[in-house]
Amino acid sequence: MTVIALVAVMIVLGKTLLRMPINVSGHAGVLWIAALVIGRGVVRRPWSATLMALIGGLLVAFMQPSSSGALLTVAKYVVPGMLLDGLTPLLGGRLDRIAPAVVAGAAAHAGKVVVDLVQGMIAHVPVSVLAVGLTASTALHIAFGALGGLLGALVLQGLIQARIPQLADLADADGTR
Amino acid sequence: MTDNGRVTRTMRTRLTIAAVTLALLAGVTAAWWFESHTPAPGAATGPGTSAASTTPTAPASSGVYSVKVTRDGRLLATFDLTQLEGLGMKQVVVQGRTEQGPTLLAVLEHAGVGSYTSVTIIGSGAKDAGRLVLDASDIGPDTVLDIAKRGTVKVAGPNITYAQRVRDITEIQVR
Repeated sequence: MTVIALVAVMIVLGKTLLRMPINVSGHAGVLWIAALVIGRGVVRRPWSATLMALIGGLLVAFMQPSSSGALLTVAKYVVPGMLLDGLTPLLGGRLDRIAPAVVAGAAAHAGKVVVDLVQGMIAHVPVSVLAVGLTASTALHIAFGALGGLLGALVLQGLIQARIPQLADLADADGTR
Repeated sequence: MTDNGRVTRTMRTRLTIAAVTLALLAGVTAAWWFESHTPAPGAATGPGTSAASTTPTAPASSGVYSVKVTRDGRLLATFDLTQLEGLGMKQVVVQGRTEQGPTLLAVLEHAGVGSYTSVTIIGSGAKDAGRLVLDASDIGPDTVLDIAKRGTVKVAGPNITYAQRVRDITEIQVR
């Protein structure tokens, strides 16, 4: 539970601290996607990423109320969490491996784009407006999600090498020194 | 785990990586197709929305971006992009960025708003809080509705921080 709570807080921090006025879509996702990947890698339970994302999303919704309501704000984090939970077993369950983590992070962050689109439609933003910059936004979200996955994988590798209790079996399986 | 089991798991992992990668590429391609086949914002305008007209009209068609001005739930005016541009463009520099668009005061004046105590800016909320309340004293001649490249407006001004800004404005509620 400690890890889950910690990751949830990191999601909020990633949302607030890393946000820069650089007009690059999705850049803040690097940190919270990395946090989700790390959390899912450490807490190897079926719905752990979804739970972390739910708690993080609720914190964000509470601290930064949005005109579109808490549900959509939370969905922006829960949907990536669910994607991560769904993909992790199919990717061998090892998010400390670079390729699976990068792919999982990219797919998870791409899910946020879908929620953003739904949010725009609910707010009656014309489709013509939603379409502007959609390609770049999608590509950037995927890229930053991949970067977050990579970062998460590298941290997990370090944690495995450090033989933290939750990952000791992975260290043994890898024959890690 | 047996060697066969390990091989199966490895194959499944690789297949999943390939499938997800293809899916993501397909997603980007779909986004590109959608963006390139959707008319630009403001391309479809209804009657009475000529470039020379600044008179607010009845609610625009669902495919055209517009900003409503309301008071106590009553619609005062609707402005599409052309009409907003017709109110006069002002340039202000906020947080090192140049913002350009009609002033909020001009929008309120053309909507027939007399006295007011506060204004609530409502946006889609997709990339920000989507809501900002401004007291009358916060609204000055440098508070503008910046016309963004994506064809929507966002509120900007010296009293509005980056975190407070509302993009894709859909409604201005006057109190």
